[in-house]
Amino acid sequence: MAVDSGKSMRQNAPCLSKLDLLRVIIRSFIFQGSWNFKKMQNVGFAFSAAPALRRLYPDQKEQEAALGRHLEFYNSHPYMASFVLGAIIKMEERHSKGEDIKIEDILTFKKAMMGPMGALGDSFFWASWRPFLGALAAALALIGWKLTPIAFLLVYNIPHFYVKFFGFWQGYILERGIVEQIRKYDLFRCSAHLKSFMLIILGAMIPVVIKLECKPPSLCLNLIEKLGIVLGILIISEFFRRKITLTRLLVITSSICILLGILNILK
Amino acid sequence: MGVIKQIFEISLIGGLINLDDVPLTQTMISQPIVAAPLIGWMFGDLQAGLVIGAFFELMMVYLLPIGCSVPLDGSLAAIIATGIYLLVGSSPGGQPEALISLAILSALPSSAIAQKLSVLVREVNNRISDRAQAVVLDKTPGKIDLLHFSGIGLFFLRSFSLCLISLLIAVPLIRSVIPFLSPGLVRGLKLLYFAYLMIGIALLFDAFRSRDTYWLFALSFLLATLFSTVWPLPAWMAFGMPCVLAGAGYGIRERLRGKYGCR
Repeated sequence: MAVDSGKSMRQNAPCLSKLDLLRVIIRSFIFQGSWNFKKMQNVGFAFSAAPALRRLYPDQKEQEAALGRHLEFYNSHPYMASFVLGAIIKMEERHSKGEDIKIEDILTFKKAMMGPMGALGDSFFWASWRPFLGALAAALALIGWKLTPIAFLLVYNIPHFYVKFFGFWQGYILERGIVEQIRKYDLFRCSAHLKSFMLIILGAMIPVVIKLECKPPSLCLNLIEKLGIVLGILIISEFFRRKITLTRLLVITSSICILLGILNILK
Repeated sequence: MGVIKQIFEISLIGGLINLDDVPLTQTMISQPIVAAPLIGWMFGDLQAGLVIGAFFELMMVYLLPIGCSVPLDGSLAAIIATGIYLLVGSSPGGQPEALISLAILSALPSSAIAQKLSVLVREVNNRISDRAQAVVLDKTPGKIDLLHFSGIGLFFLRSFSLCLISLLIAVPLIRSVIPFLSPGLVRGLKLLYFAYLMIGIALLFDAFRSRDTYWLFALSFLLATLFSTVWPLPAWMAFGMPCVLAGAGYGIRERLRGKYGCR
């Protein structure tokens, strides 16, 4: 009898409004506010999910338990976590209504998704999309296009905001089905294409942005100079391949250039 | 007094912009290519901001914040370098490239210090995480929000104070040194300007090269050389045309590979 009354009470549990979901999305923009080495994004996850959890569990004890379980270790990509956040909120909503979903299922799903989402986000956003646009923007800035920063921000944030808003919504709608949906995006293939385009940008950038003063300005001298620059770049990239760190290379290069200047070798 | 006020303003704005790097939004306003021009535009030299931002972007964009790793802070260094360039004012030997090199050189240590401070902030944040669990047990879960925001505040404090101290040290120092720079040293700094550019490009080339795509690099380089020397086009076209043509070549090859399954 007690179980029945409990279940009917749960069926009357509050539903999440679109405003609640929007609050979760907006909070997810501060996902890494208190990023720490111990449990990484745990506080960020709980902070983002808090408006939904407070609505779903009006009972103080249940609310504390819900927040407490989302303060466990969490580390993923800050954008891609939106998919997981959406799915977890939906699962919590179903749990609060007394549907057949256990807390262990929610936590297992959260843990299982955090690694792959992190890898996917790191590989696409950090290692492909941002460097690709960064290099393109750097080239355009060095050419002298003054609107470069605005264009960079607008273009970069198209997939970012898509994932934050639509990704969260898809997670909320599809729940566990989100795995299939993300697979359809084929982000690894996109990363591979971006990496190829990156080389195109770097190749086109060298002759246009690196302009040494050549006297006299003949085609032959220019071409040799430009090939010399490419050779220099290949040599420097070999240093990186041999695990010489950027800091060390910058120190060495700066020292050499300044030393050449002090010794008055440069004409 | 005016310079001190400007240093304070740049540090305040820089600290706020740098929040975007990790704790707040991550819309990439903190990327050097945006942050440096923004500071440049606010304090009267957008062009210098664009150049300094581009240099830092190339050098630091592939330092990835994956897992526990905390990379060098290119964003804050770009803001500091732009601040130094703007506040020092006069270029050595009338060569703005030399001043840009000097500003970048002076700001580079702060990127490493910022990295160390980030580690420190994250260690302090460990306590925030512990405290968050404690407040849930203490039945005051509402305090989680406050704890989370205190992490953001701590990060701002780190960026703001580092920016302020770096500028307070570097600006008067460089101002006093510039009149004594020999022409040879100015030429050395000019060479450094190109060296930074080459290091940035080399870093990205190393990160993205593969045997399969060397031809793309070579093709776009040759086309850009052609359009910038044999048939000189405006810079944006000399850069854009090879990108479009080589991109089209890559697209066609990929389609053929998909159609015939050849490698």
